[in-house]
Amino acid sequence: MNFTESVRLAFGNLKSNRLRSFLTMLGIIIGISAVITITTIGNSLQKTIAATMRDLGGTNLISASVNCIYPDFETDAEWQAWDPPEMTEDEKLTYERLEQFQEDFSDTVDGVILTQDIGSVGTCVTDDGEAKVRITGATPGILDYMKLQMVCGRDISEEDNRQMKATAVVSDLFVKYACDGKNPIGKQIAIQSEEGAVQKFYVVGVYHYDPVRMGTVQDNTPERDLPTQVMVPYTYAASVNEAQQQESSMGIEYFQIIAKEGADPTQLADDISAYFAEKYYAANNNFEMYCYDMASELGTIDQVLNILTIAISIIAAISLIVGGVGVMNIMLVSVVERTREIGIRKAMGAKNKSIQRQFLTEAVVICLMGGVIGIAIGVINGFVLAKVAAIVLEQYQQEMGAMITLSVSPSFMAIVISVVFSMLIGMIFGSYPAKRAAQMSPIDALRYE
Amino acid sequence: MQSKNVIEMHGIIKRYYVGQPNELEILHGIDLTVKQGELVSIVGESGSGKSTLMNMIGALDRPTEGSYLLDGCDISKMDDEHLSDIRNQQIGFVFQNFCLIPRMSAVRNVEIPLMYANISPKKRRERAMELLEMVGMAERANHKPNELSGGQNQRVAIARAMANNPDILLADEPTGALDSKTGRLVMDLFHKLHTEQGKTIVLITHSQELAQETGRIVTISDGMIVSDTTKSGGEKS
Repeated sequence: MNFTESVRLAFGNLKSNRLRSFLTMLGIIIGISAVITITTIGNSLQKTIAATMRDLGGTNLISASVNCIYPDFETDAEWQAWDPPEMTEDEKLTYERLEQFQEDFSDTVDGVILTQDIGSVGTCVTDDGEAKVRITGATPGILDYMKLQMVCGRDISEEDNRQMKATAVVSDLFVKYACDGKNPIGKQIAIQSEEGAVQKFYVVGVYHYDPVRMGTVQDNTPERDLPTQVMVPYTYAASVNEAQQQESSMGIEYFQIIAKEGADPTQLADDISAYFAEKYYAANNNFEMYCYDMASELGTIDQVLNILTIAISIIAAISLIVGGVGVMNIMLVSVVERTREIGIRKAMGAKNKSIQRQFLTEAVVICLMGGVIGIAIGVINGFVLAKVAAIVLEQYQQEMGAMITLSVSPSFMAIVISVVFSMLIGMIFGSYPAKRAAQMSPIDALRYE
Repeated sequence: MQSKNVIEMHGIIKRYYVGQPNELEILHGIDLTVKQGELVSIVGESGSGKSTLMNMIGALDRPTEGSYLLDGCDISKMDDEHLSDIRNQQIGFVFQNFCLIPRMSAVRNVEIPLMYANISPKKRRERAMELLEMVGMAERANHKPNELSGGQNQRVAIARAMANNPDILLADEPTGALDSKTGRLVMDLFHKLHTEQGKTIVLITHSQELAQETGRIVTISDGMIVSDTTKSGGEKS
């Protein structure tokens, strides 16, 4: 009697006892489907988050901000009496000092993104029309960083920044409404702020205005009245603000760091914090450079998902063991019920190991079928839940201004492990009943009524 | 014509609970020889030890003492594995209560010994159908035992016993559960197998009437052979 024979016999037997077979499988089905459901959701979420992060600007970004460390206040009075610490000129972060930082970290840092707005919304009037704008001073690479596409011309350059040039990159919407679609490159534009101050810039480039990137998808303002960003050199914006005494008492407080490919952003974030602590705040521990990277954020979510997966897996494992004991129980009953059959088979020449294999195969087939049904249910569950998640996420999608690409994918590893595990359960919990069946004396078995 | 000995038992002793206070000796030294092609009946009251002797002949059990040569091989010291092969190849069992597996059709029941003989499913089915044809049950091949009468079930059981063309057919009260008419049919079948195929048949029964049909009657009482008569040759021992 070979293997396929045993499997056929097992199926025949399970079929003749459908309800019982199904109930026996139930424990296994619940256990396996729970694991597959949770791993499918976990896997889908991980992939979705990773894809969204990539979309948002990637995991190679580190946000750095200068933090003032507050003491623990016991009472309101204490807080009232507290004098915020001051920064000395040497401790303030400037554009030049950031350049120095970038040089010190040239091995691991690809660039530093700084932005500073001039005023709030302004208006630009030309001979061809007018448009609302927001002037943003930025370091080179801002368009890349914001994942905006160049339409024509060039981005703000290193040189623009160094020489504090009054150059500007405008949006295609600006071109449409202020220039009536005419190429504005090389032309001078004048922007009047709400306060009345006028800034003049030479247009050097045009970018494509992407509402998703700019976070204005849900903005109901008509396109014509939408203030679009005019990118100008950071240094220029800083000098304007300085002249208007709009600068911060703490210098540059916030900037973005783009890590080089291959550099570990989490490690880099720690290194940067340490660098500033040593170089700037060694004598003044009221301040710190707080760095935070997208990758570690992603890691945290991963960790939460992993803990969740482990917790569910433990519950599932318990369910599987209970299911396995159920299988063993039913197999023992089945052995007793089929005592005569065992006797007959033995009289007909069945060897002990044939009998053992027959019962073991039956247990494995029960568990394996339970496993397969469980996997199917788990995958369906995972898809349904992920679809629900997608509907919920869709509402956030536009608010967040990021494309969330939901990908549902059951974990292949989990499926393989589930199949192997359910087979293993069948073998472990089926072996004792099978052995009992095999060791029956043929005479006693034949005489059993 | 001197035919060879199929069964050769010498000094068979069977004890149960050996070494325990309730040790019980069922067979007290049986000597029995059966030649090829004989139709022997073993007769005895219940409790006489004839079932134990049948288990011994059928290689379902091993004697505590003595030797048992089946077709020249001593099987009294064989392990379970080899005994299974002996039962599969050399012995065909027919039981009083048919001992068919209820959830399997007649033809599948007949296939069981063939399956354990590692015969391919296709050949198995052919052989099983051939056997059912022989016992006149081919039309009922796909019926389950509970859809067949007692006599029909016993014919299926005989087909099954013949599956691997064994040397010995061992029938334990084959008509015990049947009415006299169907019992007659079954007995006719045994006679047919004996005369046409030259099978060695050992019939265990408590019925003297049935025993009279056979060529040789071995009477067992209290674990001992008390008489062994051959019709043509009179008292043997």
